[in-house]
This record gives sequence, structure tokens and C-alpha cells, in this order.
Amino acid sequence: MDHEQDTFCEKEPIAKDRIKQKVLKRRDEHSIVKIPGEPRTPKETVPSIPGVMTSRGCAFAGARGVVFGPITDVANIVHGPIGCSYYTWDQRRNLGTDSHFLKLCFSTDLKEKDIIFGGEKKLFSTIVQVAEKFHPAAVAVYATCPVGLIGDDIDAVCKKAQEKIGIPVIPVHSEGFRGVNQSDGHKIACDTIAKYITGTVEPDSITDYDVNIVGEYNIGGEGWEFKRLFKKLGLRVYAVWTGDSKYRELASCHRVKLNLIHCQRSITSLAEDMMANYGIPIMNISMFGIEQSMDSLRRIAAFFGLEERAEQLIKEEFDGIRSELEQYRSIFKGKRIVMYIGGARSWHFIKMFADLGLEVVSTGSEFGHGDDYEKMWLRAKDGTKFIDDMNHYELHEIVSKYKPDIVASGIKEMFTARSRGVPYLNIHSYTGAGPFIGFRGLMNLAKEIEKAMSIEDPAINVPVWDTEGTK
Amino acid sequence: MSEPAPLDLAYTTDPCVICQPIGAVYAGLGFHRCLSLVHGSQGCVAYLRSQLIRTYREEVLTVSSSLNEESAVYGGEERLVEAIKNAVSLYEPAMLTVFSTCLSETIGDDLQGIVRKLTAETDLGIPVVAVPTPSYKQEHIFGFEAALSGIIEYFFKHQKDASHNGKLDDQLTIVPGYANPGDVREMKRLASQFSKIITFADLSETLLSPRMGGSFYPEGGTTIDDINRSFNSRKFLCCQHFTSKKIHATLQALKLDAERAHLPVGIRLTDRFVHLLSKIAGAAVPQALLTERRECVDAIKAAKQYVFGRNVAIFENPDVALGMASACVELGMNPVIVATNRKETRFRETLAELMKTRQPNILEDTNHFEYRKAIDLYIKEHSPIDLLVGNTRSKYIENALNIPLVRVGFPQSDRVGVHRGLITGYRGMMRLADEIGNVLIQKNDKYVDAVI
Repeated sequence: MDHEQDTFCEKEPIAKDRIKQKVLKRRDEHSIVKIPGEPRTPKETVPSIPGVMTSRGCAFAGARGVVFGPITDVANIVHGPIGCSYYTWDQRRNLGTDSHFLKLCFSTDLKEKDIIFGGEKKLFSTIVQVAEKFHPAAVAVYATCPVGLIGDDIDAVCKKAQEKIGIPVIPVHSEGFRGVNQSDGHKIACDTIAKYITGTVEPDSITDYDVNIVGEYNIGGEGWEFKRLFKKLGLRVYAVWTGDSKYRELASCHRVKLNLIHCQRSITSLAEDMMANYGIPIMNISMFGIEQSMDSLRRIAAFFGLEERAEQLIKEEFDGIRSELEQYRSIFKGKRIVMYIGGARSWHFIKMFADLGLEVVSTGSEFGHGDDYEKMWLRAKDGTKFIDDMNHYELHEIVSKYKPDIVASGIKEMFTARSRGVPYLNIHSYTGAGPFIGFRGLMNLAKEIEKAMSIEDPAINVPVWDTEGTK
Repeated sequence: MSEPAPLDLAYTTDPCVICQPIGAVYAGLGFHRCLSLVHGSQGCVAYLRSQLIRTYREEVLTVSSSLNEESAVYGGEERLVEAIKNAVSLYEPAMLTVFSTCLSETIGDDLQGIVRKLTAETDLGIPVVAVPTPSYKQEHIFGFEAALSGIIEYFFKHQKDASHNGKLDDQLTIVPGYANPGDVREMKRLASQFSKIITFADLSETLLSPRMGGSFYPEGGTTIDDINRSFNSRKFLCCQHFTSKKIHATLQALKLDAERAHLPVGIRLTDRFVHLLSKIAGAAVPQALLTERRECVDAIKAAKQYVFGRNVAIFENPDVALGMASACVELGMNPVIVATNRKETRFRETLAELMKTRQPNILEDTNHFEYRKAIDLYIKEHSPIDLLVGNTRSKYIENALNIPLVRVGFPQSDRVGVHRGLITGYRGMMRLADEIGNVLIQKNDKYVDAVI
């Protein structure tokens, strides 16, 4: 390693101020304040500025981590060097009834010679050996950054392996550099599922009351709460995409009566594909918070002619939490929250927090598209700030400027808030809490908010001699 | 395509290694106002930051050059240069460390060449150290070594001409290596009882100190001045034998007096470490440390009553595994399986010397799947295993076989206080004796007194 230190020739000093102003100006277009009557959205879905501390991940994270990750009986083989596989190994919280495959990590562990000579042989052997040893329902193979460059034909390898082992082998072209963030990975996963999985198996039985929940990853057991509520409503959840799901459910779910889309960012294109190919109607729903839950349940019930049962269900569930809710509302009244999260939850959660008496003063999304920001606009109060791809510096600024009572975001923002004495709520993976959907879910969330706020305790943070003074 | 023999596995299941950049970024965290830039897809940074934050429960600041499809085709130089300029202007670090990834290396970007060209044209006002860290070559701990070696070479190379002139400072530079911050703090504390020391890289300050109201960088860490001053140190002491090999070699190549010690885990290896410190300083072991040792002996005796003869399986990096095996033997336990995540010359021999009569089954450069197989086999053919020692990833075995796991090494994302958690020195051994003792007492905890 030979770095030349200061040489004698004249060097241009770096124009820090000019560069900083340029970056800030570029970032300016990514944040707006809601002014009534002026519907606008911030600039979104453009590449992050290099060297600016973004929280965004890569396409691989979107495909392997988010969409495929929660399926419980598929062996996920990451074709690439070891890191990518390690980071997606049981890291994103997805609860599973049978979590055997969620806790296994398969990697072709590419080395330098594979990068030079190609990794196809290694991949083929891996697929065959994993299938023989672990008996998954299917195998999914993910391409990582180098694979896209060294020219491995993973489609051909998967096809050949499938012929040999007799179970589906699905190639996912999820090279991390594709697109601008995780969202492109979601799209890649959806296209792959549409091409290789949907409709490949016919269901054993189907009823007139079967639905799919599309875009629910069971982070805190939300899929299970859906099933509980819908059973009471008289509906059968045929498949959950993809929280705690089985390959067979996903492959045979194309005969249901209705697709309910919960996460309307990551997986909408898949539902659209099922509508085009199998004529399954789509309904966008949100089960976060009371208002949105009631509205969604009523719309679903109207579709199936189950209005009475829906009213009964809503009454039962609401009665169950009413007194607790009042208590929490009085605690949280007027508390201000800054929120920054992946995609759809950036607007789903606005009304949910409002149900608890909290006010969202700023919200933003790592990978939201125009339609996400439009939905944010419809739900947020006037004066709310929307920030796209918020970076560390901007979070710091917003915490200083808005002095929120709570920051709700992911793990990377956790200590940015905590080190500044601001309560933090994990709304990415819920730090062991959840489910947050429906009526009971709202109470789970309320408990988490109460906990988050109590963590910043002045009685502990400040020494006695400072609080009691000369008393 | 020919098919490999059944036992010749083409793949890795449940690895115990991560990628180079995470280790390199971890090294960068030990320097004062140092910002790391990872030249690759932004997912690399998102993942490694999350992983580090989960274990150390501190803000981890790292930026990415956010390569995209266009860079993958035409090269990433432009975005790297822009990233460096932006990072320097926005975050005003005192030092910038730049690391490559699988992506940028496969594209063929010449990381060091690009940085050299940029710094020749533009005065960035700060040192920019570029170190290639492709994950397909080495694992995370090597990334740590590569980063430290890169920093050493960058700062020391131009000092070579100045030469020592026979004038050496009194101080000792310790290189704690890839260790958790609590252990870095302990090794620092031990060494500073003998000599004036510089710590290289001081992760204890940056990851343990409480953050003061909203400052961007944490307090402390090894400063550039520290690095430059350390060149005249009387001696460099690498506190890890196996996982500091590259750092040691780098120091020696610069004709510096560098020595490698074993990670001071357990009372005997701590004794050796303390003895070495005492020899270097030419000073006797202070009374306070002798008292601490006495306390440690008492802790071992207390625990040994309950853990003697129990079987333990250990899986971590070679230095931690060796130290933990040694500590377990001191507690009268039988390490029946010792597994490591990389192959090292003389690991087996060194371990054999530390073991008493019984020799463990040694698995080198292995993964959790193979480790589990070895455990299952041992239980089937011999006797139960009472304790597991390893990082969080051993928890699947802990849960499946209902064997308690004492967590050491990295990652430990499922427990709090890991950054303070201590295995080194007499204090570390005291903690281990207490924890292992209590974990095994709990298994038979039916009486008011722990008399069993």
C-alpha cells in the first residue's frame, strides 16, 4: 500500500462549503411541508447521493430479506460471498410456526477463484446437496453483486438442478446494485414469484370465503392476528404473502375470491399480476389503528355480504380495548412524533398514532414512491414535514428543530435518538413486540410507546443534586 | 458439470464468519473522529451498521458510495470521488478510511489508485486511508487486521526517513486487536499499570463512553497525534496471537519492535500477559494487581466446586476459543470440542499445551452446522455436554439441545451490556467464573443453599 502523502505540487484545497451547499440543495427537493390545497410530493426513488449517510439498503435486502425471507419451508441459498448470506440469516424479524428454514443459512461462499472462473458448478452442487440433506419444499437462489458481474447463468443452473432434484428451484436476480434501494428488490421478487410460483399448483379445496393477505410479513405476528380476526368474520385466510407461509400455499393461492393488499409498496405488483392472469380482484386495506381497521373490515365485509358479522366483530374488539384506550389517550395526548420507516408504514401509521392521541410532525420513507407520498399527504396534518431518504444529518436536524417527544424508526436511527435523550420506538422490527394490527394490536403499540417514553427517565438521567438543587 | 463426492460440501451452512468490511469499519470506530466509507452497494453499509449497532448499542456512523447499475458497468470511480468529497465536506472527520467491497473489486475499481489520484489533485485537509477489503478473499477479523495495517502503513511509512535516531519514547503501544470494547478497556487498564501507553485502536473510548448531548462523533478514540507518536514507542504489543498476525507482520516489516501475546483470558494467560508487561516495563507487578489476582483465585475456587468435570464445547475465533478453553480448564471443566472460524498454524499445538491430560476434538475454519454435528456425535458416543461457549449464533444449538450458552465474542446481538462484557484479565476471569458457575448451579437449583 503506497499512499503518497503531501506532495510539493500545488493542490486545490477542497471547497467544503460549496460542496455542502450543493448537497443540501439537492436534498432540499426531497423534503416538503404539507400546505393545505397544495398537493405536492417530495422527489423520490432517485439514487442516494454518494457519501451521504443514508439508511437505505440494497435490492438483495428487498428480495431475500423482505419478500422471500419469511417463507418457512424454502431453502434460501445465497449465491455470493459469505457476508450477504450472514446478514440475512434470521436477522429480520419474521415469526414462523415452523421456523426450521428461517434459522438456517446457506451460502455458496464464493472465493476469489470462483469470482475469476465462475461459480456455476459450485452453485449446482450446493442446490443438489442442500435439497438432499434438508428436504425443503423448494429452493430459492439469490444472485448477489459479484454474480451479476462474473456472468454466472443462474437461470440455467437452477433449471438443470430442478430437473435433477425434482423440486422447484427459483432463480432471483437480486444483485445489490440493481435500482436505487430495497424497493427494486421487492419488484424483482414479485416478478420472480409471478413467473415461477403463482399458479403452479392447484388448491385442494377452495371456498367462497377465501382471501389472501398480500404484503404481510408477520414481523410481530400480524399474520396470525389477521387469521384470528378473519375467522371471526367468517373468512378463511388461504395464504399470507409471505409471513409464516408455506411454499404450497403460495403456489396454489390463485383461486381465492379476493386479494387484500396490506403492504402496498413491496408487493402490489404481484397482486396486479394475479388480477391480470386469474381475475382475482384487489382491495387495498390498512389494519393499523381503529379508524383504518374499521374501514377495512367494513369494505371487506361488503364484498362478501358479511356486514352484520363485521359490525359484531368491530363492536366486540372495540369494547375489549375501550377503557384501556381512553387511559392511553390521556397519557399520550398532544405528544409529537417523528417517524421514518421503509415504505407503506410511513403513511399507514399516521392515523394509528392519531388514534392514540399522538401527532405525527414529520414522516418519511426509505423507499417510498410517489403514491406513498400521496397517501401520506391525505393522512397527515397541515404543517407535517415529509422527508424522502432521510439521512443521519437530517434526522439530527429534525430532532433539534422539532424537539419531538418520540422518534419512531429502525435500528440505525435508534441511538441517534437515544444519544440525544429522545425516546425511541422501533417500528421496523418492533424489538420483540407486536402484533400491531387491529384493535388489540393498537394496545400492544400503546404499551411499546409507554415503555419507550419511560426509558428516558429524568429521575435516572439527571443526578439528585441537579434536580433537587438547594431544597 | 461433474458432481462432487458426497462429503465434499460445496457450500457453507450457518457460518461463523462475516464479510471483511464489517471488521474494517469496526477498526475505524477505534479512531478519534474517524469516518469510514465503504465503496460498494449501499446495502453493504446498511447491513454492517445494523449488525454492529445490534451488538454494541451505540450509533455507528458509516457512509457508502452507493454504487448502482451504471457504476457496475462503467466503473465506480466517479461515485467514489464524489462520496469522498461529500463525506469530508458534510461530516468533517479527522480521518477518512475507505474500504472496498465484493462489488467494487469485481468491477475492477482500483481503490488505492483512485484515492491516490484524488489526493494528489485535491487537498482534502485530512488523511485518507484506502484499504481493499473484498469479502471473497477473507473474513471479518481479517478485515479488521487489514484496516489497522493499512492505517499503520499510511502513517508510519513517511516517518521512516525520520528514523528513531536511537531515541525511543518510554511508552508502550498496545494493539488490543479484534476485541469487544470492555476487553479493550481491561487490556488498557492492565498495561497502563506498568507503562505509559498508547492504544491502537481504542474502541473502549468510542464505544463505551456515554455520548454527550448530540455530538456527531463520540468522545475519545486513538488520535492522529497518538498514531504519529506511537512510532517512537519502545515496543508494540499485539494482544492477540492469531488474529493479529497481519498487524504484527506489518509492524515488523516497518522494523518496529513488535511482540505478540495471547489474548489474556483465564488466569494463566493473564499471568503471562502481566508477566510480559512487567518485563517490558522492567517493573514489578503492583500490589493492587496481585490482590486482584488473589480475588480471581477465590472466584475460581468458588465456581470449581460446581463446574468441575463438566463438559464444555467452545466456538469462536482462534484467540477467544483458545482463551476460553484455557479458562474452562482452570475451572476444572473438560473442553470436549473446540471450534474456530479460521485455520491458524500452531493453533492445535498451542491448545494442546494448555490442555491437561484430555485433548479436545478440534475443528478449525468450520461453521455452526459442522459444529452441531460434532456435538451430536459426542453426546451420542460419549456423554452429555453441559455448557456451550460462543457467540449469539450458537443459540440455535442452545435452544435445540437445551444446553446453556455463555456468550463471548461477536456478535452478541441477543444480550445487553455486551460492549462492557468482560472475558480478559483477572476481572474477566472472575466474571466468567461467576457466570459459568451460576449457569451450571441453576441446572440443579432446588435447594436454598447452592450446596448440591
